[in-house]
Amino acid sequence: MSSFFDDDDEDESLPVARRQAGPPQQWGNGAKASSSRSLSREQSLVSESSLEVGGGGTGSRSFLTRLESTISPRRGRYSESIGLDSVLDGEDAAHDIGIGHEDNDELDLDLDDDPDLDDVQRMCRVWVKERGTVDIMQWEGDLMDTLFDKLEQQAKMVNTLRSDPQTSEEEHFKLVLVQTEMERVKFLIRSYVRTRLSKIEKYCQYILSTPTVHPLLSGAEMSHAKRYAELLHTHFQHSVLDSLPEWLRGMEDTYGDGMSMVAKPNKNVPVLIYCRKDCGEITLEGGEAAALAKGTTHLVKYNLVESWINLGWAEVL
Amino acid sequence: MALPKSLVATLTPDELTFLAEEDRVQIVPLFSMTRVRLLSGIYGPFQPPSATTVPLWLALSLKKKRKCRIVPPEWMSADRLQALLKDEKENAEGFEPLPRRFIETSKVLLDLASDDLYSPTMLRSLLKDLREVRQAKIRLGLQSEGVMRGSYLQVTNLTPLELSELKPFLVKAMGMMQSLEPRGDEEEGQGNDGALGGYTQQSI
Repeated sequence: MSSFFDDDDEDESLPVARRQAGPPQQWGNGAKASSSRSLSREQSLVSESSLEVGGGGTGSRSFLTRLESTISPRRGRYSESIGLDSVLDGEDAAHDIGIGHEDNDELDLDLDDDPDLDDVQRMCRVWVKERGTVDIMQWEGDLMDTLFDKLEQQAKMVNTLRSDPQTSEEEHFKLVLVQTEMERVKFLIRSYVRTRLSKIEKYCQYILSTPTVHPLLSGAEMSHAKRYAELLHTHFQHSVLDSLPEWLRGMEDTYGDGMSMVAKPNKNVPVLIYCRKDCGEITLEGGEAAALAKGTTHLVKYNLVESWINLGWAEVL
Repeated sequence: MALPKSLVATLTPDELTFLAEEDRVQIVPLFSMTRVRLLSGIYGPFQPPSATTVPLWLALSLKKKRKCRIVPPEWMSADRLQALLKDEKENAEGFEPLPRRFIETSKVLLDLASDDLYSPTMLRSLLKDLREVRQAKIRLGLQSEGVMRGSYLQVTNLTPLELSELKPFLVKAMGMMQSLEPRGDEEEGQGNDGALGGYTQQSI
């Protein structure tokens, strides 16, 4: 019952490794508690049905089986999610620690608050970055996987707890909060994926012809880009190109003035960046220099600050 | 289309408010509840007289159910805002550093939790003044010589919301200016993004 609600007084400041030790045990107890409770409930049901005379028997019987069918799979789910969760948390911890170490080794200690960010806040950043730039950013596979796994678990628990008549008023209230947050996270993910999708469709030819871009895309995105480009190509051929002379049929030609038919991200489009660290100076095309000091905000051509953005020193707004 | 046109240029105010709702805020709950574990962390326990920290969206959702009192952020008091407004007026050169999402946060708080604020009408007018002073400065800054010449602008201390108002215009204007510049050094890396100056280049 205590699935994702913390009933014990575990200290949040405990190291992550110790905190993980908590939930599985706690869930074990929860499962036990619910099973013993279901037993007492069966008994009470039985006594009720024995009091009822006539047609009540079959009704309560079917209710009993229904109850059992909601409880027994849940026991399974608990143990399943215990395993999953501890694995997940373990990964999380390792991930966090990894980042922390990198930061300590490479960068100044006090500047980066990245390790403190939770997954949702990280997702917000990733989304803003994707929206704020013209180029395709690295696909955040790890973060997405973690979020998807967590969402799935939450959804399972919400479902089991909601269909359980034993769930108390307070827990129903918590469920509402949990669901609200799930919707928020889903919105973020949806918008993120859609933003990427629109970029991918816009630049599909460029993506397919540039191998250096391929690692930035997830597998699904890559295959979408391929299929989309194929569809587009066949469509153009059937509707127009086939009726044109041979030498006008190219889809990747370059005009005399250097304009190419392949649309690619215009890296000259300015981006808004906030410097989270001192990013040194950049040279503008006029030969002037601009200092990107820590804590300042700039509107500057993307290709001039691309490396800082990828390092995370400059945050896209 | 995967992403509606209206969303391509910049983040909308609604989306910025969504981001602001991820920020943490203090609340005093009016009901008791044990801790709740959400994706973004563990919040609570909710025990009436003692304050606890939750994301703004959670605070607002509790507020709508009349289950909590939101402790306004420290800068959201008439005194602080008056001081900020004064500084903002005196600082003719740049902008005062303000909390990153002060417009969004103050808007939702004034809309949904005005009874938790001290003299909300006063706050509202001060915030409006502050915003107008800054907007006037932005307009003045854009008129000054040379702002539109290059493709670089320092916009330190402007908040994301103010920037997102400006961004579509600035990006477009800079693209135009670039395409009017004598060609030469911009050959490399020049994309032909139809949305930006591409047409101009072709037609010139």
